[in-house]
Amino acid sequence: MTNNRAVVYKGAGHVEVQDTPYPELVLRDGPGVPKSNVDRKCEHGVILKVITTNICGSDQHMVRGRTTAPEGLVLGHEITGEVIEVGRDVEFIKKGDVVSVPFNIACGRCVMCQTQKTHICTNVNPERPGAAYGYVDMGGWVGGQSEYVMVPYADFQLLVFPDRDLALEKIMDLTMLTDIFPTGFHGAYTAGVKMGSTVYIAGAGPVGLAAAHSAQLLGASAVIVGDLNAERLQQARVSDVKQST
Amino acid sequence: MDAVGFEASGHGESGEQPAAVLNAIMDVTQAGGGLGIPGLYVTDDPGGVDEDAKTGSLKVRFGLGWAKAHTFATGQTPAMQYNRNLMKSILSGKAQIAKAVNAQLITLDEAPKGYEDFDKGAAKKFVIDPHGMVNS
Repeated sequence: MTNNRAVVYKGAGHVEVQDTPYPELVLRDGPGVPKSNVDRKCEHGVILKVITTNICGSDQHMVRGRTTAPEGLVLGHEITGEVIEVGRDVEFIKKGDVVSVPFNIACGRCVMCQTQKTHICTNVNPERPGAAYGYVDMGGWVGGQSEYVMVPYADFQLLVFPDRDLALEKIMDLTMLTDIFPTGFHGAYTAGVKMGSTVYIAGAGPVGLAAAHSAQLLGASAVIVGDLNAERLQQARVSDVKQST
Repeated sequence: MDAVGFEASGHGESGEQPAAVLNAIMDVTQAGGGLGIPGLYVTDDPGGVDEDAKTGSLKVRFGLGWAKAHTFATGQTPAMQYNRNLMKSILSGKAQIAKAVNAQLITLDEAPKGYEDFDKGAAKKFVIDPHGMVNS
């Protein structure tokens, strides 16, 4: 069944939108799926109708041919969507919920997940700790730059937006919760940014700008952004979102 | 903070220098400071600038960071530690992340063009709307 369309990696410098299989509550064999993940049952998962899915700078590393990503990989790990089907073992997530999908796939059951280290879950990728959708070495889970996608461990993972209409109204902001906003915030938080800090950020791409905004939210007194790209540096000036607005 | 990763270029020099940003942030950060590294580094890079870079071994001046007692924060972000509170900041209007990153809505069919433009250095964050559900 091909009732789905997705962005597919076709080799260095080349992506295409192709017909792809409609997702099932199981991980089928495909590009980059480790043997022991093939036919893994996901009755704890849901099928999402994708509302928004963002292109990430980390996708570009693959598309430039700078990783060992296999051809045919469906890309996309920044996924926001509406639940349209729930698996047998899902207790709390409901059809119609509008949800943000954390890009780190995590089981919620291992020691790492139980201590909030969902980025290094030990149960979702036989090859190394941690997994993600549509990413090289990340367990072979099918990416979400598509019309429909399967999300495992739905009760544990999904962030349900409290109000559907408000969520759709703010979707351009909320879509950033899957990866880029937490990633920028994590960069600032783990660097120790606090009230009064002076912060330097190398890189004025989206993650750098998300980090700059996060540093401001954390109370930095000065945020300095550097880049070799004049257009991005100009965007950093434009993006200087003061919290007093 | 390093928001560039392993495909970094050096300042004023031509070509890729994968350790350039890590070395630069150690250089500019005060002693005792923290280095947040959301920029991505890999264990296998077929396009690495030399044999070492192909396996993620970079010329990092670690002694400088050690001398300045820097802390290094690496790895994927555990998104679930932050997403709920950041959602509340968005819904309250405190955080304006779409504006901060210059979000640009595109269709699924426009995704290959989005990749191309982003690769060329477009100052935008591309958001794909596969079903045309978003009013912008």
